[in-house]
Amino acid sequence: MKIEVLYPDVCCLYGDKANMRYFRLCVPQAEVFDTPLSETPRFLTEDVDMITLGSCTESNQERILARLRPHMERIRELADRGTVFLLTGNSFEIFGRAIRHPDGSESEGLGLFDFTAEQELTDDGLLKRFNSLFLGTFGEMEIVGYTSRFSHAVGISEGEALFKVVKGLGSAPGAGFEGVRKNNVFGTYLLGPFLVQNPAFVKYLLGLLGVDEPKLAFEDAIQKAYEVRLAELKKDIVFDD
Amino acid sequence: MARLRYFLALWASKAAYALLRLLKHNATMFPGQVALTLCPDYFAQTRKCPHVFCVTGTNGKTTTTNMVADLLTAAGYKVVSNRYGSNINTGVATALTHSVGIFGKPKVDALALEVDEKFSRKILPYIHPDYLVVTNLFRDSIKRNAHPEFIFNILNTYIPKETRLVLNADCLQSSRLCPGNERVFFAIDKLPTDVTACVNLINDFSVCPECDTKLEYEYLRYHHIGKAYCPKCGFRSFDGDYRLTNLDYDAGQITVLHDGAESVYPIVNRALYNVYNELAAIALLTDFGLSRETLAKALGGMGVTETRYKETKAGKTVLIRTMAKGQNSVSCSRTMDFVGHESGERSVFIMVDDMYERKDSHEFIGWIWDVDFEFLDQPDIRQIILAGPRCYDYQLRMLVAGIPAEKLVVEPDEFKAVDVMDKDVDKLYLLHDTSTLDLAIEVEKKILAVFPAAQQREAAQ
Repeated sequence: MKIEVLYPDVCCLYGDKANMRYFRLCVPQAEVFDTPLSETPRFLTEDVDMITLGSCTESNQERILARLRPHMERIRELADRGTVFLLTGNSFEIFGRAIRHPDGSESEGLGLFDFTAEQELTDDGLLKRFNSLFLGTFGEMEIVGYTSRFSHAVGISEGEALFKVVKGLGSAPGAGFEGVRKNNVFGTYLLGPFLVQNPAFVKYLLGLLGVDEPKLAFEDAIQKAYEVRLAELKKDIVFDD
Repeated sequence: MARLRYFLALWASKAAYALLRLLKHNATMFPGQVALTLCPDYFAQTRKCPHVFCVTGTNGKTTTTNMVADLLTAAGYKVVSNRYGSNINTGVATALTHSVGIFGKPKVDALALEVDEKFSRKILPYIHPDYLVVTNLFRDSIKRNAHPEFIFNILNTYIPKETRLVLNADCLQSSRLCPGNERVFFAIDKLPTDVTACVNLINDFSVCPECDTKLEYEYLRYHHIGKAYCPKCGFRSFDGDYRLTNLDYDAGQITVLHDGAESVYPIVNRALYNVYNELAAIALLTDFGLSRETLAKALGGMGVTETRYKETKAGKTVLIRTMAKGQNSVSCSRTMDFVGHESGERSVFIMVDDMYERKDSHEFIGWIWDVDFEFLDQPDIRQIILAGPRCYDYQLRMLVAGIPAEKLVVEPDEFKAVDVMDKDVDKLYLLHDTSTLDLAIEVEKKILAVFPAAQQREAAQ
């Protein structure tokens, strides 16, 4: 199994690195390649089973777009073929149609999805931040997490959404769903240790990657942390601010 | 009209302060809030005292501001500071109220103000500080500060052009602020403990901003703090105007090279991040014109405030209560590094959950995956207590860090955790967040209660 972690030197905000750190412990036999921003992605010259990208700053979104735009066809080919992509935080915006800035200008996205990420400003001219806890579902699975971002993804149809929202902020205010999915491309605004917080989703990904009877590292501990969080999120607590 | 409104605001602010003090409240924010409500341009309207010093940055603001205020006082200046108050606009407004008399005339020589880096946009353009120290810029609370680039852009936009900057040359993130301003840099020369490749989980400035190439280091201290260069395009860190050339822990002193002359000062606190804070204060006030003798004499009698660091001796054990700022992964990592590299048999009690979020929400703990808890994986750290509502998240984090499960005690209730704490050690560390200070003091009392009272005495620091 080959996993490519794209640009971990800049896509590492908010504990996002934890996902692959934990994932490696669950599949010690996997070959994991870290590709820094200055290097050519490995997926261009060889097949990989999984590609991950984490949260980054807005300026790094632009740098990554500049590096990946020339390879849009290859990315589309891999997505159509069923390669697993895990895109957390604002990194999934890179795969949409465009990122629209507060001044009305747009950065062209990779176009794997048709949504537009839209940023807004506060009254005193700063990028507006949106923070929210999240409780949702993925099939029968209960998903927990957190989003913190400067933008919303507009134009996602329910059919291509990843999670259903139970509580918290979805892809945009009022949206009943969160993130995007196409084949095995999973994009979500949930950030940080998303996998670490969702042990069942780790098992699901391991299954997609062909691992029979997946075993989780420190299974009792990850399960206990998940159950405590799930119970708390189901209580009447403050989700947004 | 504007002046009349100002005076009404000033008098109301002073009255609010007097009333709150009568009621035994701290009165650090409300008087300023009153002033800003009645007079939104209160900062601009207030006549400033002759010297205004501000300190901002992610870590070290409070310690540096306190040192600056104390050093100025020792030098004979009459100083108002927001030492006991808030560092946002209301706290600064309260300090401004104290700095003038009832007719608005400045009654002190200097203001020493800690300024929150995000709120700086509402403060700096209006009070026009003569000097601004920026200690460093790291990632901080995701909710409040988003990421360091966001904060950099705020400061870069709102720092007044005439303000003289005192910048940390070892921090590439903050040293690049406002290149058009007059500035001096401080830096610490290569130390024996420095490395050339990052050993920390996070480095917020690892890529050359000019060509995206991975930066290399002549020396790297922690995270992105060090002397970096780009092997491809020549981009590099600034050189220090005030260089700490010798850090002598045994002698308890530092040597600072400036303008070709070396000066020696006592170390206020051994933690390296506090050495940076001290160096920042020395650079600022030397540039301002205070003598080495004045600074060295005053630094000799200084300590770090007890809300940040306190040692208590109980028999053969030293209980050290110190801050490990929650949601601030770099600050927390610095504390873990410090505790991990201390000597002796140790127990570590971690209670850094956010007190406010645990009341009616649920803390996002992504930040703990950026903290170098790996530093605690030491043979002479015998036990690690994980206390508070997020203890199960910490348990998983510690296991992934490689810490043996048998060393971990997981207990949501901080007071119950004290009962199972291994107290038969040389040093017992109680690590708390800013928001859990009061709770930590209560836990500290419970820990100390098991030691015979006669054996307890507070250490000098």
